[in-house]
Amino acid sequence: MTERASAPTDDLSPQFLVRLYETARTIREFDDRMRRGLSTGEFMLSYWPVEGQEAISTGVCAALEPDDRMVITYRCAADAIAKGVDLDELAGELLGKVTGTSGGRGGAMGINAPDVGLMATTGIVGAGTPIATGIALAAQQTKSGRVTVVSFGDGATSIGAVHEAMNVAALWRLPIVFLCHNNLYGEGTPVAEYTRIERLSDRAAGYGMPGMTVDGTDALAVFWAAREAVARARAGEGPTFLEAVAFRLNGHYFGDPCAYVDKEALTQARANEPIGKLRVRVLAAGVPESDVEALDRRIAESVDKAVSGASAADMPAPDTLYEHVYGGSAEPGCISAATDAGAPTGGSGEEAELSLAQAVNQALAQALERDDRVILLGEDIADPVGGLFTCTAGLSTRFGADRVRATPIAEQAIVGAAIGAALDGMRPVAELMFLDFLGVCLDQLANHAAKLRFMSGGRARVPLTLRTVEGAYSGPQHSQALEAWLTHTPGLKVVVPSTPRDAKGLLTSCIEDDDPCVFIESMQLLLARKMRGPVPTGDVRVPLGRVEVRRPGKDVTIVSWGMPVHTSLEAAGKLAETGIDAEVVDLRTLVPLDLDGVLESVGKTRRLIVVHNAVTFSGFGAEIAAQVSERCFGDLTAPVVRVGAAFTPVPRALSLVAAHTPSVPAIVAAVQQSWR
Amino acid sequence: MIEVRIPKTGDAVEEGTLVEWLVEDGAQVAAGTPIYLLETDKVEMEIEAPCAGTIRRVGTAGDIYPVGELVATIAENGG
Repeated sequence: MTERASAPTDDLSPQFLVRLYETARTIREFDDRMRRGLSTGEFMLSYWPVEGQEAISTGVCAALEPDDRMVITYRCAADAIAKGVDLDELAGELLGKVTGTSGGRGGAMGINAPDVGLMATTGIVGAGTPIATGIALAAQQTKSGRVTVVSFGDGATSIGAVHEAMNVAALWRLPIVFLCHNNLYGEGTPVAEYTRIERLSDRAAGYGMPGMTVDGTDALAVFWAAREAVARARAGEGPTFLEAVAFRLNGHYFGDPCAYVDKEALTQARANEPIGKLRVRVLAAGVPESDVEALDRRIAESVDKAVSGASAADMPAPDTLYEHVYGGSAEPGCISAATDAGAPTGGSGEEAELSLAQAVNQALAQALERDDRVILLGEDIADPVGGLFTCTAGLSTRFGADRVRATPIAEQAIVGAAIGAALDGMRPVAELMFLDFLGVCLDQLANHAAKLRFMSGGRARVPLTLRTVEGAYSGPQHSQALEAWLTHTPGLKVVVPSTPRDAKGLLTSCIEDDDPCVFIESMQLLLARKMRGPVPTGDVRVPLGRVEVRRPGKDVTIVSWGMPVHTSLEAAGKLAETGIDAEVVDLRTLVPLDLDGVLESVGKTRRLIVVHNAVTFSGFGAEIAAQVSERCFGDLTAPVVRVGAAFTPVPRALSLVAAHTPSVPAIVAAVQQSWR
Repeated sequence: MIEVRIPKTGDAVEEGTLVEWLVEDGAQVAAGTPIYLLETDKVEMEIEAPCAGTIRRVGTAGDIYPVGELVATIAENGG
């Protein structure tokens, strides 16, 4: 079953073997202590045991430099301890205490210790791999020489994210090692019941990378193989898939009845467990048994101190709940504190008439020019295509195809790579060709980009921008306005410009923001000549979280964003003919929401209509209506009315599109209804 | 008679410029003969005659038209 990389004898020194033993033994002791505490009711939490897999993490991490990077999973204890995470902080986090790596916000799924290179932990199977490719991309881009190891279970080899990540890593020759802990069960299902292949490392060949399988109960075998893979990565020769096989000696989770486990195989595996084997090697190298016993006692004491200390430690104070959702203020994050938004800067001086696509192009070019940390990722974004809508035309020619990087058609890899690069200091701008493809990568965006700051207790930040397009009227799967999927996710910022000037200024602000921002471009505004507008040639920044009044009026407020701002302005023109003076308020950013800006207008007009391209039902308009009703119900002279799309998919036929989409007559009718 | 209208060359494309006529008004064209040069924000492309016949130019070189606007007709020979 196993192969072994060639074994240089100088690695058999007593000092080195003791170092390996100390790590592996600490993991075992920690895992034992956790399960003891759980089984006696000392603490109650979700824990995924690692007994049997200690030698894998030990061997791999012994092949790494201290500042090499790692991304791990919720079965975290072995990898985290081997990478050097402080035991007190690890135990504190697992127990959800203020002393934890993430202040108790992440638990086993949120161990984060950038000081020792542990950049992210995920509770989503396979999802760490695209993120790790981004960390490796940052290393390649900055020539840091760092290698990234991404650890995952055998079960993860069935999930798409891993395959997208492997393809990208091999394509770009990234300095990364895919470490598969094959513990023979994907949760409660044996390997043979979920795949036809026998060696999981055979998957590597499909992506043009070497695959190795080693005995995961033998720390030295793992070390030798890892050293080879790490050396290959560091030399710029690209990734390796390293499979280490070791029977999981406990359940998938603490409390798992393990009805699926082959009892005979378990008995054999227990007889062949890794700590005992390593101890034999240590003793054979001439280390006195009394020294090993003393080491065992020392480890047991420090582990018990860590876990008992965590058990006694405080939980985080409830009033810290909103900390680390976003950078900056700890206010309930979705409402913009006006003082946070800052003032617009730049924008004076020379202007040019540009389309929204040209304005985006200019913002990207100036960001690339200004800041080496800015990189672009996306399908077809490099020349000669230059982006499906020309938003990135010319940029790869000017700034290089490594900074303006065309990707495979792999949205999880694109967004994940952007997350990883952002975690390690870059300011990536990724492109999602159509907002409809959000479903393909929503896990990366909503479970990772949005949450990593929180899950890490503020140790991580994800300053990425995701540009995308809505409103194409290109049928049911290339058209949708899905902003409400995003605004429902704490941690994301959502920006929808309606003018070329705002597009440039808001995109610049997104790129410079320390939180993940989704920047939604309306299709009808991108290229149309009649939608061109003046854009400052130099730097311009429009702060996030500030509305703009597009048309002042006194009788009714129409709140909108993106393309429907223009529909609303047209409707306001029609209303003026009937003697109704409508104020059109362009939200510009949905999160953070400038509620004060909306309330100021509604306080004056006492009537509110919300217009958006998304379906009305459960749309963001409902949020605006509720916020306004909660705060100034008594001031309203009419119910808030929403004008959005019909609750159907976006149709292909233009006749149906016209019936589906908010129109000038629909807005006029809504206002008149409000007026009565 | 076949109508030649400004095509929609992409989701975001709303209009196109008739940059230059490549055939004379009243000329006999074969199917596939490039008849005019179209430019949009995304592309520049030669538009070919969809059939053989006598072309009547309707659009003016240098003008911008919305997609769907009639710019030429071709009377099929013997048709």
